[in-house]
Amino acid sequence: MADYTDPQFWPQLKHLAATIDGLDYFQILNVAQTSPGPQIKASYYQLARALHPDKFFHLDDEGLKDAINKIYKRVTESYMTLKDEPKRQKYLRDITGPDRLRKLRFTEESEAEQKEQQKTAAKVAKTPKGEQMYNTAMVDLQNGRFDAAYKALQSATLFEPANADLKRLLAEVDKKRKGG
Amino acid sequence: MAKQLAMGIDLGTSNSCVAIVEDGVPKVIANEWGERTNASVVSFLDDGGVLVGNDAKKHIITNPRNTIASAKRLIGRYSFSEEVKKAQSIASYEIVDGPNNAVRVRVKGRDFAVPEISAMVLKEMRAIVEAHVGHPVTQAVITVPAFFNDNQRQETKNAGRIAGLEVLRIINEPTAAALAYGFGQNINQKVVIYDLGGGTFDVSILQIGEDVFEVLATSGDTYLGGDDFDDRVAAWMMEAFTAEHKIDLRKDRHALAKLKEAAERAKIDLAENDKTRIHIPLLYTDKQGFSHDLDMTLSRAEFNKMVMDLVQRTFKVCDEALQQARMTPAEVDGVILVGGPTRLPIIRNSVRHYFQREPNIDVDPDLVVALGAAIQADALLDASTTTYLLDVTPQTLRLGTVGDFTEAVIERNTSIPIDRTRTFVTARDNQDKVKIRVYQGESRKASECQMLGEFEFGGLRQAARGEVKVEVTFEIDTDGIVNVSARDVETGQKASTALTLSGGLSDEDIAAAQARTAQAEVRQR
Repeated sequence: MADYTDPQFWPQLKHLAATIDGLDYFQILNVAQTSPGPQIKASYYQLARALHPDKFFHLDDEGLKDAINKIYKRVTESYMTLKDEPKRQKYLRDITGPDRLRKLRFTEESEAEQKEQQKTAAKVAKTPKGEQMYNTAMVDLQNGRFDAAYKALQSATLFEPANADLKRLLAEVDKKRKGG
Repeated sequence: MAKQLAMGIDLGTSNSCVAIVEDGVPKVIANEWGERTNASVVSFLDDGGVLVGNDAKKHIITNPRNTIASAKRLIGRYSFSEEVKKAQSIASYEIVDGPNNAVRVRVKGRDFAVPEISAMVLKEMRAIVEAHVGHPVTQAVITVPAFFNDNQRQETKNAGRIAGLEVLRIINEPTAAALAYGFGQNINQKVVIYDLGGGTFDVSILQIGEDVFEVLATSGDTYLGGDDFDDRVAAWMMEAFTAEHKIDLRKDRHALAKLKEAAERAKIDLAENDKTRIHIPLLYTDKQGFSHDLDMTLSRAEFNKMVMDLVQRTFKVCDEALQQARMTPAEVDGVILVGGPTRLPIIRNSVRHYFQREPNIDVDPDLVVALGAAIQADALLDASTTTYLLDVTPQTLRLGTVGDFTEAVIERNTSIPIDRTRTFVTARDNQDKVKIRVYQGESRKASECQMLGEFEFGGLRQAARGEVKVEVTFEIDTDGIVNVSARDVETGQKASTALTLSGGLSDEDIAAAQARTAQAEVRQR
């Protein structure tokens, strides 16, 4: 990688800092969406060597140092999300869905959604068929397809008529698809 | 042009150490008596002068009320905290409450903030380096326990400022040790740093990838160290003495100081020998003028028994760190021992047993942290940085919600630097400020966490409730210090930020303390 402490790169770096909010974590870490864990780590280390604030500490240009700080914090943030498998999967769904622009940073909302999902995923469907329908419903939900999710959950309840959790979820999704 | 020089300071609970990089080699600088470690002790003499270091330590027995040791156990803590109460009960000097629940040390009728005491030790370290190189050196990297929270880090940085230093970076002690261990070695290993100091304990698990030092997880106990081992021995001695002579020594500061000193020596002696004789002549003189000596023998086995619970606490911390790193002891390539107390056979043996491998003892446990700090100091000032420390924040950053509840904003063991935002909406028409409380800790209950402070964001635009959205950014910087700022989402305008209830020193306090410290007459023996 190039030596970014060389002033010829500074306009580029300042521009990156100004536009970084428009990039997703895969782009920031310079990895493909399908990259395996070790590759993500290797890329992170490479970027750390190139952009760590310590490397720029001795320079006088405060504007540059602010830009580096902003970029590097986002590199760290990208790594923290992509190195955690459930977070990474959720993130990938978020940025390939209709809400992409809002979900470029995996913050409060996405974390809350993920925790909710984990909670419900642990306990809901008890039979193989029920689980299949449930999983389909989850994917639909994540993509905002409430009607389809409702139908899938309805099928799930047919396989597990006594499952109160599924019924509750069905009612919630019903509310959602009716605009609640 | 000569490159600027910066020093690395290991500001320890019991002992401090300073190092610089000289001709490309990190080196600990000895004081004028050839000693490379300096007691973190400050003694206020009757004639108004001050002694700092190994000589001051001798005054603990002769002048206990005016000799301050182990200030690091108090720094950045609230006066109502359990740890301060514990320290108060065994300290030979007076610990009192300060403004905003801060801690003060009272000496000869004057109250000192804890960072002022630590500043005198830092000043002494600076003097040692300046005597060696022959010119002023004002820049320093200062180390702290990895588990230190924001308040503790902030007050340590303030201590540096009071000492007239430009603190380039606050770095974690285990990370510094790993840096000294791996520097220039081209290692690719997962290492555990087991750092048992005089007053604090840290375990950090790092992946070293040649020039990259990535902390995978860290855990610790900021009130567990060699001092506690000494206290156990001292308590045992006191109990035996009381049983034999029916005398309660607890009110006698001089006796307590003598017991503690003898306990420390016994502990150190037991590192080399199976048995040690403890002899304190004239420990106590009663009103009739009869003097009582203390004469006892302590075996290594008895010592091990009385400190076993302390040792076990360290392995609970190891469990925690390994769990956070999602690793088992078997996946560790090397274990490095840091801190004087790790010389104790019980520690060495327990570490060997827990990790099923021989701990690495090539590094000098007393000096390695200062060496790492010097390497980092040099790297920061040098255009050709060749080491990269990727550290983490040790405790979860939390936001007070309602009642005694908090929610996590930045999880512990998140890599730093990093930031996270939270958006708040005004609840009342023309609300002109938003207040939030910030904590660090692992409990959802605010009362079980450390409060960092209450932030007030003001100057908000006048509008109907719900119309003003305030985006608060929580940043943890490379020092592991929390910075909070806010802006109006709509206009992008920054809100004014005021911090209250924090207990730390204000800029005015620091400036005043700096002036006082500069004037303090520090004796050279």
